[in-house]
Amino acid sequence: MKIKKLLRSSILPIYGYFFFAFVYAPILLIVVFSFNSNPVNMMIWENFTFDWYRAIFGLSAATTESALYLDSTDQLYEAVKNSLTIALTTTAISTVFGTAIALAVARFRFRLKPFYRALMFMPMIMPDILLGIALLIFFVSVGIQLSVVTIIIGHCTFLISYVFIVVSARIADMDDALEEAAADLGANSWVTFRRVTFPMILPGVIGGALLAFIISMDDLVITYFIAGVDSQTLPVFIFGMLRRGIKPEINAIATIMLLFSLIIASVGLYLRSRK
Amino acid sequence: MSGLETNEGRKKLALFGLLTPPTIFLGVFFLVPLGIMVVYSFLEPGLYGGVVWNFYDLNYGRILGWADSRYEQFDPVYLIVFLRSVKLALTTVILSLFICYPAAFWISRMSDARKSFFLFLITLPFFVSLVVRLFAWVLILRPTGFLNQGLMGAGIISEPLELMFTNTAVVIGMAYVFIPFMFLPLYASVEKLDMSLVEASADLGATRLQTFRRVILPMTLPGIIGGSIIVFIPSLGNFIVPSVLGGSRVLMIGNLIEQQFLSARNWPFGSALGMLVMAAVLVLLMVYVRIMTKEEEYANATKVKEG
Amino acid sequence: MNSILGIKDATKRYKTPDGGTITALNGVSLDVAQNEFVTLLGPSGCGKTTLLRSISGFEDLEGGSIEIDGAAVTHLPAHKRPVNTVFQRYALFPHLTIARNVAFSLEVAGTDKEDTKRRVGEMLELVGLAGYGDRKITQLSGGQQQRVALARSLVARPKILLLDEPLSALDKNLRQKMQQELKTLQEEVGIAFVFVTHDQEEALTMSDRIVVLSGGKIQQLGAPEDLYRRPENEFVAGFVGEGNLLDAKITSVDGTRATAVLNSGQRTGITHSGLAQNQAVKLLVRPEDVEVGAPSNADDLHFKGRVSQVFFVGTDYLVHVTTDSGAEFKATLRPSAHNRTSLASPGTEISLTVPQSALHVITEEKVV
Repeated sequence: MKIKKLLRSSILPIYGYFFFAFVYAPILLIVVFSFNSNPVNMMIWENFTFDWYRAIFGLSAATTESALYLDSTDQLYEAVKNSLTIALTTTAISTVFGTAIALAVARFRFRLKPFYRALMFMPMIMPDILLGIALLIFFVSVGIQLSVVTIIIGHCTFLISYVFIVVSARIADMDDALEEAAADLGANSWVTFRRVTFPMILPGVIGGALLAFIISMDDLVITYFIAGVDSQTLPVFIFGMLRRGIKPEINAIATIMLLFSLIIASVGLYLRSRK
Repeated sequence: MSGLETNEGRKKLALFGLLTPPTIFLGVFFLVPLGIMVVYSFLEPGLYGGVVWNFYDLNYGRILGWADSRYEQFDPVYLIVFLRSVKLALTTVILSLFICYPAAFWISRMSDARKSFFLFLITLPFFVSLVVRLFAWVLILRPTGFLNQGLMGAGIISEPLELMFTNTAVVIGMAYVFIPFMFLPLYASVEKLDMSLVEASADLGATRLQTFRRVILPMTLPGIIGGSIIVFIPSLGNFIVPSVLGGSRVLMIGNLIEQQFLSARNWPFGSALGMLVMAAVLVLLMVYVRIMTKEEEYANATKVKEG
Repeated sequence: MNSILGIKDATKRYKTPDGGTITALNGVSLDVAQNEFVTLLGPSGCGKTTLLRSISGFEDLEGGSIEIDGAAVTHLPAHKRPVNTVFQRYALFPHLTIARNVAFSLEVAGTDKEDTKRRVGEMLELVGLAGYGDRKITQLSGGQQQRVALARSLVARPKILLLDEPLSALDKNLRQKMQQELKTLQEEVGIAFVFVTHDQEEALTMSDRIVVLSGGKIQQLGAPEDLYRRPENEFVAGFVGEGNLLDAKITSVDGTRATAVLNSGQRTGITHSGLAQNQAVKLLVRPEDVEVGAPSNADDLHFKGRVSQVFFVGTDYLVHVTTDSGAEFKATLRPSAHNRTSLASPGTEISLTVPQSALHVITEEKVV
């Protein structure tokens, strides 16, 4: 009886640890094996090495098939540069637009409000691939050359929604009476916005911006369709590598990306916990 | 003379300023492209890519049952691919539901500090690049991968299992990638579940199974449905996971669309396939809204009674 | 009387989602004097909050006018009106410290730093929170938040302070303490307070004058005791305090003297002007005016009945009596020190007397 009870009470936690093992083991695997020197079979541990990290930073062309790696290194840098340019620009634009719509919907009365709500909801329910092909058809039929710019436009079309949702949630949490209190104490609508509304929703705006940045950095589907030949992003580049066959450098690149994502996520969650 | 009138005017100006730029942007780069895609799905494909501006219903015909008799006979292959995608997406939903449901209960019973730490751990993978997470499964499932090495090392198998490029691999990959999507809505409704209701049910003589079926399951249903939809939508149209883990053997509708756009260059047909995916999603959402309004009516009804 | 606030014929209607309209204010007129503590009292939906919000500038009147200190403000936006509000849940800015909260109106108005600092210090001292300036709002208790809200809305020296049910979030003991503090504070700062509440006890305790509102109309305006002793209509009689309303008919009128006959057939003489023969009226009897025993005066009313329920309400017993003629009657009885138990228990036969002087005549129907 006692054993049965003990089992029952510990089954859930035991399951829980398996759950987290399932979630994290694959990721840890990448990190560990990114230091494995075996160039032929990455999953058989040989020796500890930094070679793959050196390779992606162009510091050593030591290993076999070096010519091929060198070529990819330049492409990799280009992809990273593109990804950062796109993510930063996209974040700026979609944060401003998303916040603007969120404010309009939450703080003004107008007839088209349901339309804007639906518009913001659409990218959430639409499979990415549809937006990807729609944008491809659009850009090509209007005659816009596919480039970093088209990717930025493409990312903004759906990231505005993400920012909108995060900021709207924050505005909904805010007590309406605060803005009335500011007006009551003599602040006009602009001063009220600057001194009360904006500081209050700022954590939401920052959260939305971080989310937009991460999603933009990570987007593959939409970018895949509207990236021109010279405008690969990091995910598209890795996706290409995966399709061509796996090389040990991917482990190292993936580990660095992992580190980068963790830093951004931690910043975001830290900001949220300060609320 | 009135101050409120100028106030109204200023408000209108502010609203106009807030909405105009994003409206123009989304109108041109979001609504118009979607509209063009719809139009494309009714146009005749040109010989070498491109389109002919004729109304042409055979893009849909090719999928649904009437083919262009000049060139081909109807072949249900596209429907088969579509149905396979639905099947794989549903399997993904069920798998991720089974993985996440107990975990949601486990975390919901923790102390607040532990709770927020474990929730942080769950959301973290969402911030890790999708390709990176998929790549991990390539490393695990490959013939020379982690799993086969382990099983062979342990002497359980003598030859590597064929794990990659199978339906199973695709489903595992999608379930893994979408775990946060399933977990968070589920957790939200499990967390809200009032444990005193479970106690009340036991007090009224229900067995554990009856309590689960009659109390816990209906109370957490909104989370189950919400999570399922959020996982189903991106699974259905997915082409990344099948092309990494499924190779050429597991073709999903997403791969088919990708091919039409990037290699076959039959854009109208690709658009029609896209519309099929959209239609499936819309049907699903309509069912969802139906169920939710009923739930809401029920909730309102109980509220009125309380009042 | 030096009027600081003058409201004339204020009217406001709302559209309901199902297409109907609700009249929130229906021709309300009110004058408030310089140092007056006026309470707007009424059940929820009576229009009291709408009236307060039209004074502060959050609601635009459909008809009528509002003057503050002789200047028309009817269509002035909220931030241009010389009034400040203490909000129901205080609406303190969570991103600012206590001192910055209090300083808000001064900063917005561009008051210089030294002056602001001094006045904020004075205000915090006035509400008993000196030295708390650097703390966060979240570190305060409900009562302390209440005081910060008061300091914040008084620092700019408004001509009127508006208070929107500010005590409703506090527990009973703290609420009573704050009632007294508010009253003291109002005397100290010497400006008019307009206070909204649905709690009639609170209104009676604090106010110089009370405005009873229902259905968007003023039902009665007067001093607390007037309202309690001399309600003008059934609504006020029922809303302010407990009471027994007895149906009666006027049988003869002689100037301001009249004779009324009750359903039970008892007659009594009453004093009230403007009565007519055969007019139906109500006689209000407060439970505490009911005495046990037989009448000593011929004009007193006398009821015999049986106690149906007894509630011990602290000092007194509230006794429900069913009279022999079938009417329900409420009486408050105070037990004497040497006879606490046998006073009344359900089922006891009881004889009650209502002195003629305790009768108050109500001629108006219930107005809603």
